[in-house]
Amino acid sequence: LRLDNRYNLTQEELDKMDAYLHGRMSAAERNDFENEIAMNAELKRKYEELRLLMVGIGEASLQQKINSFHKEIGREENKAAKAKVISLKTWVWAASVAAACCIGVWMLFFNTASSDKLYDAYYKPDAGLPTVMSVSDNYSFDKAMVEYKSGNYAAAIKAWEEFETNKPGNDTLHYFLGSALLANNQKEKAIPYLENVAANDSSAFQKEASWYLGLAHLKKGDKEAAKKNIAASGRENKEQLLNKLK
Amino acid sequence: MQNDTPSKYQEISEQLTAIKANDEGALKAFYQQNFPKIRQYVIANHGSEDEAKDIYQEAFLAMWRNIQLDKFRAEGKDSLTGYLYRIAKNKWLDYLRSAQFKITGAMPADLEDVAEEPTSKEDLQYIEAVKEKVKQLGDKCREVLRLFYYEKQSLKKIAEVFNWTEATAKNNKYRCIEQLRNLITRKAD
Repeated sequence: LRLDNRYNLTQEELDKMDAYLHGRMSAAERNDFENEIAMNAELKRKYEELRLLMVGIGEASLQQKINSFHKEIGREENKAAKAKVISLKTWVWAASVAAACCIGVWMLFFNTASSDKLYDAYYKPDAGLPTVMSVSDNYSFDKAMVEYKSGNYAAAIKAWEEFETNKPGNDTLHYFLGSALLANNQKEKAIPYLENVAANDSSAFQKEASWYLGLAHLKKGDKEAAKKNIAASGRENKEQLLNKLK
Repeated sequence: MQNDTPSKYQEISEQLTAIKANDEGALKAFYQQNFPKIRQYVIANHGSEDEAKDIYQEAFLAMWRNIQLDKFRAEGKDSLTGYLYRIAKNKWLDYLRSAQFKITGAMPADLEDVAEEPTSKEDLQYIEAVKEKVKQLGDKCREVLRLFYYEKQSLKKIAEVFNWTEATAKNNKYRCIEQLRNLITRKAD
């Protein structure tokens, strides 16, 4: 196929070929179309061209996507390294506790376990929602969700803040805006959004919002507020963290 | 061992279907799983970290392209991973050979026939032209074409995204494809 594509492509032809390519034809229609292509060299050329158009359009999108896939590889490695450090920390901590118990300075050691360390050990950003790009209202929300999931928190925050200005008060939006802000180390700004959701009895995100709200307070060093909210969350490991906060 | 074959085959064919449909999760998982092995190969063969990334991305796109154009089928025992690995390896060898050619001025002997991309040069040129010209389209056209041809969304969904009627979405898709084709033709003049 040469770059010369100067023949006429009608809308009808395009729609038909698209239906075939998207698998939206019945078996009989497929059969007819395949026969038509076998008989008509020009139509075959148009079909081949459309496939290349489809691949080119797709490749342009995919190229951008694989760059973000790649960035994540680096981040995953860092995360794994961090996790190792944490588990080492935990081990040291356990050993110290055992030793400290014996010599009766357990409480002293415990109080030095700073809020920050606990925050780091327990905080993991919400994984985000699957994006489907369906309803028009969800479109830019989903785009921002893709940014959020790729770790581009600042971009997600920017898009969602605009959304919030236009249509304030949605609990899903508040939850993820709060999550993105917290992930972006903006705990002060995250807290009011998470508070809204944590106080909303009809929100599906209420319990998770309480967890993150608790962690945000922990990060701030406000242990009382942290305890209250963590206790209201539905996390399995909340008792463990609450014990450490006693 | 023979008992493994049907399930292995099924696994490859499911993976293939997901990649052909541009399933984001499947593409991402496949991309991320296979990079370490190819990175290791390139680095063990005089390559840098950046070169490993470039070669891998080129190979990944080539694999994707061949799947889209039905040039790779889950036949025999060839796994998709093996296929990607071969493309990357060949690309790296090609690159080394061309680099060597530049230095020594002598064409190294062909080791073996490693052609993995049966797509014709003209087709590849056309695809490159599409990739380039898509950038010149307006935002809406680019988005319509991306949603329809890459995300495989229905016209109904696209109409919802842009607040159009389905008929408008259909007309715009045609208009945008025509714009793109014209841009490509103009280049060929």
